[in-house]
Formats: sequence, structure tokens, C-alpha cells
Amino acid sequence: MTTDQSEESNMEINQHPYADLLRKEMMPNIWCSSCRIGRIKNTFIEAIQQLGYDPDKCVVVSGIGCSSRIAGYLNLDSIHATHGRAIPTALGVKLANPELKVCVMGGDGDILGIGGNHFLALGRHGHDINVFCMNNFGYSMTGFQHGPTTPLGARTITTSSGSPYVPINPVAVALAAGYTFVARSTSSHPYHLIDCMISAMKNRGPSFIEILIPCMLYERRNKIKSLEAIFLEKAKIKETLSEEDINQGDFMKGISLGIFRDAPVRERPRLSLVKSTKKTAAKKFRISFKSRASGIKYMQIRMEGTGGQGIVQGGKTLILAAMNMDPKLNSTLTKRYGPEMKGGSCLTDVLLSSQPVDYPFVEVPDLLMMMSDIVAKERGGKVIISDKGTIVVDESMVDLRLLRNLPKTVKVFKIPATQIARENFRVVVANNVLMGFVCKVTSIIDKNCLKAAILKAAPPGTEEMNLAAFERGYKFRKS
Amino acid sequence: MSDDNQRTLLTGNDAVVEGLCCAAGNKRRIVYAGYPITPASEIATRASVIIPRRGGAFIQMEDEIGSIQAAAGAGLTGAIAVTATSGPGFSLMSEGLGFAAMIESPVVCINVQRGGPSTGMPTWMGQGDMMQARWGTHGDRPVIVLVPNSVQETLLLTYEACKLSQKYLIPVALMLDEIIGHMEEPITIPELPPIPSAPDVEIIGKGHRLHRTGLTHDLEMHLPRINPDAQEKLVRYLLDKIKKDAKKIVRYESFGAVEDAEVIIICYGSESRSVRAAVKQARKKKLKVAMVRLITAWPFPKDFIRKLDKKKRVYLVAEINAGQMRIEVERYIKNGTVQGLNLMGGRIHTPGEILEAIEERMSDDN
Ligand code: SF4
Repeated sequence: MTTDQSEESNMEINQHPYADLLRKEMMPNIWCSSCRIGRIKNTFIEAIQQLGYDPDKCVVVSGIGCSSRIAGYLNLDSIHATHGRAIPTALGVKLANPELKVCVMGGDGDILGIGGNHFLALGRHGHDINVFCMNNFGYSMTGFQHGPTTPLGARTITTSSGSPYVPINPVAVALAAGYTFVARSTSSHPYHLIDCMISAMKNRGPSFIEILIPCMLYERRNKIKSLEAIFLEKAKIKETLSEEDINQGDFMKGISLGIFRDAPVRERPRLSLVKSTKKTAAKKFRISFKSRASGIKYMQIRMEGTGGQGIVQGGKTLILAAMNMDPKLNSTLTKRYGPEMKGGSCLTDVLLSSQPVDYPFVEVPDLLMMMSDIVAKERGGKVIISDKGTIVVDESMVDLRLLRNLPKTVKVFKIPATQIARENFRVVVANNVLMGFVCKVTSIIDKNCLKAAILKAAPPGTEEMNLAAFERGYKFRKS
Repeated sequence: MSDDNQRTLLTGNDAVVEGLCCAAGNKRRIVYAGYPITPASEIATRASVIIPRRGGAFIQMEDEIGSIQAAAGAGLTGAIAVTATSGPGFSLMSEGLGFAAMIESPVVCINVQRGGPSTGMPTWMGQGDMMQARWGTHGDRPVIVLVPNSVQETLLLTYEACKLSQKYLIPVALMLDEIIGHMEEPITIPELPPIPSAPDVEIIGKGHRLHRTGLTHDLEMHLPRINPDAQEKLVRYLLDKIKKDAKKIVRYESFGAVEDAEVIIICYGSESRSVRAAVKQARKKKLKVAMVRLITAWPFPKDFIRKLDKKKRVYLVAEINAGQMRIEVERYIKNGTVQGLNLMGGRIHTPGEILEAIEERMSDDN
């Protein structure tokens, strides 16, 4: 002790080397006096200090359980999340701010039990998060129920005559899941653990350390005097580890400690951001059109057919064309499918209106484009159309008898669109053969507005064929 | 003139992503964590292309529980944190939403509602998650729930959801339904000011060494305090964040002359489009009918509804569930009669069906 008794220098002397990284307000901690979780906390601090990390850039995330309480005692940015959810919470932090060093601390029940799915997924996702899993062989905070790592035959309060369940091997699972760093240590080997933690944090991928810790609840129930003594006696730190060291059976007989894997992060395929090919197509086939007031007050258009016939694409072409023609026109597009996507019924409703569109479905179409009769047949053969409406029908696909009993005022136009498409292009452009014909016989939407819309709605690379199909339909004359 | 139409054709699901981009502006990072589910998957599809392109992070998580947790973690770093799902996933997210409320992480959770319960009808609409959105978490938590009824409004309310979540540091739910999610409408993508982020002292990674816990904690340091006093203080504080500003947050829209209406239809989401059509038709027939559309389902516009109750009349709550918001309307209507107009899901009422219901109530009265 120095002669200078001023408070300031006293504090200097009494300052614990870890003081900056501990939350004094939280002390004393809640752990049992014989518990070693506190030691893990200290080894972690030691590792961070040895690595020289800026504590302001370190985040600890934990779940629920005795060991998960570590987050509260560390004077770092820390999140004490819900049970099992430390890993995804940590992942969110890391994704949002990749410059942060993010560590997950928790127990076997939390990380491997309830959080097992997240534990597996992190290995696959490959993000730089360090998972330090304290394995005490059961759920200690709730009085010691059996957990994923409880040894076969071990007594817990929910396996009072011995656990009949085969425990999982955390190291083996981590290796299989793709963690780039995997190690095993114990709370009785703090220097080894510090080394493992340092290596884990240097590794740029997901890392996992299984840390065996003694719990007095386990000791008591299984009449073990000191697990710590067993760890010290049975555990061997090995430089090189074999297959057998991973798959150790009873830890009471022998425990292999060491680093099972310290691999570089997997090479990720170079990702190229998706580029739109639409712009190039639009340049290649420059189609100019004039916008005008359409004078449309309210119009209900339905296109119906079989899934795979381009019914939705057709509806989309129509609404885009209407937008081209009259930028003031309000419109909606809705689609309905039968239970199967391919081969089932499919219909697209387009509403055009001078007022905002309310009910977004067609009730009685003014224009009905029938690519097949599946929808009508599902309705028991009924074709719904307004009295003054127009039906344009693909006669190669529709049973024309369905159209027999319509009021005289309904106009019906027929074109073998699918046949034309099959003979000249491909069946898939039948929708635009029909569209060209619709454009011709109804004059609802200007031709160039429709063609520009086809360019937009057609799958990339098929623009030319779709435009040609449209022209073919437009020029169609009954021979 | 060429193709440079001012309007873009988008689905409601697409518009969500555009709304997020408006909220984030050029500088803010968006973190999207989701899990595929019909009918919300298209949000993820678009997000997976657009968000990385603007320097944000898109991740497909292992499940919905992971998704909401990742969003809660990301929210604490000052990012625009978002997840999207539908009913079954929303159920799984309940705990995470409560956690986000407890640690005061700004999260936006989008629920594109489908027919339930359980797997229900993945490809067909429903509105059965309204009460779940309010009460679906254990314990009491502050709740804001927005319900758009068009593609354009979906964009605007996504932006609004981000803004409110950042302002109050709470999870905000945006409840679409399958019809709004999948329907396409031409919209304009507006220039909106990037929303201000939470103060630095609420953000991790800024040197403030924050602790955030799902345990009951004190308000200053967020350190665990497990006792009745701390609980009382904390929960009241959390609830008051929204309670004291409820008047500012509440949004609704009325259509038709509400004051002298004999029948008022209360509705929200895609169903409100049918109602508006029916009210238009009814008014043409000189029937005294009006519509009130909820834009915030929660907080509920109780003052407005209470004020309506001065007059004795019929309130028809039209919704695609067994009468969830009707329960709330009934709490504030003492003079009038509250009735439900319900479908169990799959479709909304046609305007004709609603008109019929109106006319029935009218003749009941006479
Ligand atoms: S119950 Fe076990 S793990 Fe929990 S504090 Fe006590 S000794 Fe440690």
C-alpha cells in the first residue's frame, strides 16, 4: 500500500483488470457458489482482452438458462433473448452491422435443445458468429430436467430412475452442420478454453465450442462428488484429434479436448446481382404510342382458361396497355386459380374505371376472353357475360355449344388462337394471338399501347415471338 | 410518347418492399429476415433482389421464430428491420413480437392474412388474425396494427409502419390480406423523407454498452429487476408509449355522410372495397348509409366510434372472420345496435350481398 491514501489512487489500485468489462451494478451474480459459469465469463473477457478487440464493438447474445445469464454481467452491448433464440437474434445484429463481433453464450438446453434448428441453420448460413455452448447435461435453471446432452442412465428430476434417452454429441452435430471452427473444452481447463475462444473468434465463419461445466444439481442427483475432479482426471487435451475423439461415449470414462476443425470460410460463389433484361428488350423493339383520354367509365374484362395458357400474362398485358393508353384511368388486376396451378382453371379479372376501383373482381364481364372452357364447365356450363358484352373465344380450345344460348345482343368473335400459335410459333403465345384479335375486333385499347405492354409482360427473350403472335392475331381473317 | 409512365404496376406484396425502400432512404440499412409462406412469399422474392442491391441484407431464415428474432436483433442496431409472413408464421412469431416490445426493438412485421385456423386456405384471403395481432402475445404489450386496402396504401402504410416502429421503439404489424397482397394496381412511388432513426443511446454498437433483456427490467439501464414494483413501472411505461399518443396514431376513413346515416358499416382491408361499392349503390337509392374504414385496427378509433353513438342506429361490422373487430365496436356502442356481416374466409362479400344486408337492416328499422 502506498502512503498516498487519496480515494483516486485507491481506486487505481483496486481496479480489477476486468472491471471495464463487468457490470458492477449486477453483482453479486445469481450462480451457485460452486458453479463455474463465472469462470467461463472470465475466460471470455480474457480472450477479448488478449485479442485486443474494442469492447464497444463486441456484442454478446444469450438465451435463457443459468449460463445465458452471462450476458447480463458483461459490460458490453448485450441481449438476453428468449429461450433458444440467441443465435437468430445474434444473426440479425450481425447482418445489420457486420463490423460488430457477435458471440452467443448459452447452455446445452438453450442452444442444442429448443434452439436446435437455429444451431443447425447457422452452420449452413456461414455467418461469422461464435457460439459458446456451456454443456452441463440438463436444464439446471428449472431444477434439472433431462436435456439433449443428458448421459444415458443419468438421473434428473424428469428421469428419476435414469435417462433412457441417447444424448446427442454437440461436437459431431456442429461438424456435420458445417461450422468452420469446432472445439471442445471444459471449465476446468481455463487456459485451454481461452486459446479455443481466441481461435474461434479469429475464425471468419460460424464457430462452436462445447464447454463442459459441472452443475451441482447434476452432481447431487447422480451422487457424484465433484465433476470438476472428473473433468481434470479424465479429460485429455490433444493436439491431433481422430474420429474416435469426436464420438466419445461416456464422459465419465474419458473426454477428448481440443480443436476438431479450424477451417477457412467456405468460398462462396461470386454473386452477381440480378439485372433486368427488360430494358434491352424495350430498346430493341422501340414501340411508341400516344396516350389519350380513353373515355372508359367502367369496364369489366375477364380472361379465363387453363393454367399454363398465359392467362395471367394476358391480363397483365391488358392492364399495362390500359395504363399506357390513359394514365388517368384507374385499374385493378386480380387472379384466381383452381386447386392445381398447372392444368387447373385460371382466370384474370381486369377492371378499368374513371373512378377508383372498389370491388376488385369482375361480376359480369363486358369483355370475356375465353382461352378454354374449363372455367365455364366448372360453373356447370354457364357463360357469364353482360347483355351487351363481347366474347372473344379460342375456338380451338372451347366447346362452342356453350355459347349457344346467349342473348342475341352479345357479340361473339372466334379465332383458332391455339392452332395458329402451334402452327406458326409455339402454343404458349396463343394468348397474344387472341390478344391481337381482340385488339382488332373491339378497339378498346390502341394497338401500340398493347404492343408496348406485350413487351413488358412477356418473359424475357420471348418478346419477338409474342409480338409476332399478336400481329398474326390482329391480321386474322376467317377464311 | 414512350414508355415512361409515371405509374408502376405492382402487387400489394411488391409494394411492401417499395415502402421499405422509401422508409430507408439512401443511407439506412434494411434487414429482411423471412421464411417462405403463401401468400406472403412474393415479398421475400422481391426483397431478395432489391434489398441486397441497395446494400441491405436479405436472409431466408430457418423458420418464422428465427425470422422475428433476427428482425428484433437487427432493429436494435438502427436498421429498418422487417419480416413478413402469413397466419401460421404469425402464430410462431408471437413470442418474438412480445420480446421485441420488451427490449424496445423497432420491428415491422407484415402478415398477409389467409383463411385459418391452422393451415386453412393458403391461397385464399382471410381476416382472422385481427385479435391475434392485438392479443397474441403473453403479457400486455403496446400494439400498433395497420390495415391497408389498396396497393398504393400498402406502400404508404409500410412506410408508416417503419416510422411508427422507430418512433415508439415497438414492433408494428401491417396486416394485408391475400387479396391486397396479390392484386395488382398501378401506383406511383412517392418521394418520402427517410424516417429518422432512434437516438444513438438506444442503438447497439455505438459505445453505449446497452443491455436488453426479455426479463422485467428497470427503465434506466434495462437491467433485470424481478419484483412487482419494477413490473408495474415497466409494463405501464411500455403501454403508455402508445396510449398517450393513441389520438395521434389512430387513423380511419369515413365515406358517405356519417352523421345522419341510419346504418354505418365498419370494415377494413379488402372487404372495405366491397363496402364502398355497396354504399355508393345504396346512396344512389337514397338510403342513409355510410362507411367507416379502420386504417389502424389498433389502436382502435374508440373516441370516434363513441362519438357516433350519440345517435341510435345500426352498426354493421363487415369482416372476413367470425366477428373479431365487432367485439371491439360493441365496447363503445351503447345506444345503437351492433351486428356482424361475416364470411369465414376465402372471399370478400360482393357489393350486392352487402347492399342486401343494408336493405334488410333498413326494413328492420321501419
Ligand atoms: S444450477 Fe448448476 S448451472 Fe445453474 S448456477 Fe447452479 S451450479 Fe451453475
